[in-house]
Amino acid sequence: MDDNVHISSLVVQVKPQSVDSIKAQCCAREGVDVPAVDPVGKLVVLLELPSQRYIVEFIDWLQAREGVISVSMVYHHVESRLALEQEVQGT
Amino acid sequence: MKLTRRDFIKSSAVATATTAAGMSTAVQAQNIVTDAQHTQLQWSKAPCRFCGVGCGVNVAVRDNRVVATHGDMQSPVNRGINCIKGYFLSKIMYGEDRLTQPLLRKTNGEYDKNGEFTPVSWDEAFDVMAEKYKAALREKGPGAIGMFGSGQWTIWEGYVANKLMKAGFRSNNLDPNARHCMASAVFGFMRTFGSDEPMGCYEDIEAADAFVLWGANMAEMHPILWTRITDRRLSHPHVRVSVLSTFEHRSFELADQPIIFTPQADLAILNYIARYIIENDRVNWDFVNENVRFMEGNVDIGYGLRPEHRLELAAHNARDSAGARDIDFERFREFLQQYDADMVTEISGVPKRQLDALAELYADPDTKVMSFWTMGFNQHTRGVWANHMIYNIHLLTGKISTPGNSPFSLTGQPSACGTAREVGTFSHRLPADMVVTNDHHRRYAEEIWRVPEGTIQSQPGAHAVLQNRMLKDGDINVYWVQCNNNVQAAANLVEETYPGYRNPDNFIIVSEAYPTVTAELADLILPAAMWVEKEGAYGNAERRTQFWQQMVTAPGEARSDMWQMMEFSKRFDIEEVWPEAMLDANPEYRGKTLYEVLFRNGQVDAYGLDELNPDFGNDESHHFGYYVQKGLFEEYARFGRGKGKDLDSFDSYHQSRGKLWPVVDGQETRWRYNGDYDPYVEEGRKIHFYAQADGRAIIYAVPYEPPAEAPSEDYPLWLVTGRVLEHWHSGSMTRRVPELHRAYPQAVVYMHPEDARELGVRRGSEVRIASPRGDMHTRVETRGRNRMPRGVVYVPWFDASQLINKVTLDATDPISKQTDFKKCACRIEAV
Repeated sequence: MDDNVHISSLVVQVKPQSVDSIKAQCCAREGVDVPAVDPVGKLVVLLELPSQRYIVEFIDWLQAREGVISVSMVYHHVESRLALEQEVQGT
Repeated sequence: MKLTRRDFIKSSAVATATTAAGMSTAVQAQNIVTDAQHTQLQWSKAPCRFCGVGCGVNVAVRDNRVVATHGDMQSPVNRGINCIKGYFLSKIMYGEDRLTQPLLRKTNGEYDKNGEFTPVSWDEAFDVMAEKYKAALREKGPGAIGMFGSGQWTIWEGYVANKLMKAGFRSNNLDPNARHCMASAVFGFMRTFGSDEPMGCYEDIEAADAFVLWGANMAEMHPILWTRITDRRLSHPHVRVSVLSTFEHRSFELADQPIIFTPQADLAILNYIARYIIENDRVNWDFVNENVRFMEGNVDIGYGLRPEHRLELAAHNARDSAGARDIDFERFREFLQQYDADMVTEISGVPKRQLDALAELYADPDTKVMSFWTMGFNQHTRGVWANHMIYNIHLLTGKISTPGNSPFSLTGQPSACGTAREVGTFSHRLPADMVVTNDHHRRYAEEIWRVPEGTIQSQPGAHAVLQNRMLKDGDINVYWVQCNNNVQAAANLVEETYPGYRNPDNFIIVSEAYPTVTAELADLILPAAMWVEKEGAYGNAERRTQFWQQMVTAPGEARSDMWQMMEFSKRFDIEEVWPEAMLDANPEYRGKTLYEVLFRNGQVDAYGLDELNPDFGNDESHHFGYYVQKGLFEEYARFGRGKGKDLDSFDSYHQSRGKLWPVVDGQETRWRYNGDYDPYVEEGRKIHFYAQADGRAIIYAVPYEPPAEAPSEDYPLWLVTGRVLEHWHSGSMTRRVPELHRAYPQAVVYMHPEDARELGVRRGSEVRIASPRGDMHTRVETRGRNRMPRGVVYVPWFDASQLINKVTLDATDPISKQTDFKKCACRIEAV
């Protein structure tokens, strides 16, 4: 088992009446955050998970939720835990 | 404030996602990604490696390795988002079993068809290959050589293959795996409009009032276009979505009109709609009178099986399947009379109420309709007819070539359009819609290629299904497969595919990145570079040509398919491949190698290494000593310029996020045949189908005919095959991502719970699925994403340990030669 970390973000299209419920269900899971929500029917989901297996399992779970229409990936980065602890200069 | 790479990457991930979702501005996100120079990542653009949608991806490289990807916000296709397959992009090149050196079957140090795969040098691999090619050429001539390529080849790889086979070896036995996905669409386009590929573009989605999915499960197979449709539907409540399929799948979530029909009955439903439009006086007469004429096609055309098959012997027009004659509107109307509600409901199982609601979307002059289809229409023994029938409807109502009115043929592979169709790697084609059977077309190609008149053979070569039959029969003896997994993909594996690959008279070469089922049946495996390990170009489903740079080097001795073909051509003196008479008449070719004739022709080698972008590698150009991709592209582009297929200059594609051809004076064309957008339309005309000699598109009267095989007492179930979202096609890349196995490890058979109960099996039970041709073991699934009607089962084909093509039938559309993977009869037994 490697010590990689997968950081990725998703855009999720949901039926408008399901936005709050889906957000709550996502946030209850480890390594999952919902940093932005559009009440018309969109969530941004941030994942920090130890392997792609967890990502795919999460997506499978999410797609099976009532009210979810589509799950799309936006950003995906994989690197070792150690490398990710390095400081970067300035912002 | 202390900031780690983790913080930085997380904020990039959020910023790009909020931008892609339209919740923040692109400027914010671009800044943060650009700032990622702090993270020592080099970002560059590429189209996605997977499906035909052609999403733009930004790819990050660190230490010669791809470590990150994100949806390209500047891409007009996907506007910053990717589908789940985007997760595979950073991993597909790094599977543990990646092939990194040539492998030849050997016993005691010598080639032996029954020997073990043994590592050899490229020199030894090419020596053995060349010997086999030369022997086949000497003993039988060019017809004994065949090649099977891919809609995943880059444009220049397909172009090199076309030139090498048709002008070099003088064999037209070249076909792409796009034969299995797109051939029916191609013949539909050519026969109706005289020019291949869609008239509209993805921007139609944001202008349409209704979407009709004919069999296509876009939620899983074309997810990014599906998100655009979803956006349109959710933000514009008047928009309607109609989903037709032989079973219920994920796209039904959004369906306002869900319609389940009996396999093959799409033909009857399509003719019902045409009849409805006419009988309810909804024909757009201004459009029809100006732009359309009518023909009636031959009927009873057989099923493209071997000629001695009983179905072919019984078919009246098996030898003239493409025949058609002129008719008038009245005859078309009369022809359609049989497709009334009683008849169509009987065949399809769809009630009149649903048929009328669907027909009304098309008939209502105020509803702009976009129709989508892929394998449901194309993998069909009447696939060309199905394509005609959908155009019939759009032409009768004039709902075509204007924003939002768009019959849109989707594609499965990333360059099915760009490489297979535009480059013309089919056995009957040449670049830019030209065909080998036309004297002028051959001459035109010979002039551009600078080869003597008469070089290109005038007879079409063997298409995909025929190639397998000819390998089995020993008529093709040397066969090179690149960039596809046809043993797994082709129908009727046991009877028609396997025997040809293992025929002792044959030598099979497979260029691959991974040990697929096809590679394992080869005699020689050549390790291939993939995706951003080479400079490339793809053409997507909306006519968008997209380029990318080489970003990393391929592992070990893996080389691009283009390098392999060009380097191999050095092994032949022209005297070994062309007949004496041809050389007597053209003595200036004597003393040259095949490589010199085809590639050192003053065109392909016209651009120096100084034109390369110094920020990127280019292994092939450095090897051959000139900018190979640019020379090949510019030679190729000459075929289409001035003929409605114009491509832009090579350099412009490296700057832009692709352009839709025809590109004239640097301007792309979003809606072909429309005077407001397309420079080829005659001055003053609103619509002009200029690729037909009389400027008119053709409506075809063609009927419903039964499938080649239907459920019977012994084989009582319909078998439908297809894909799932997580695995792409045969899974040769996606299954290399080991963590995915647990998510969707193996194929299953989806079936109705009542059908399962009657067989005495349950969800998870092991079963045997059988046809007269073969069988396989799998497990039952009665829940989940696909909900089957009674009597129909669905099996995805990605799993190399469960080869469903042992069961399928190699019936094809007799016109397009494309296999029908969507319907045959099977039996399921508990194990």
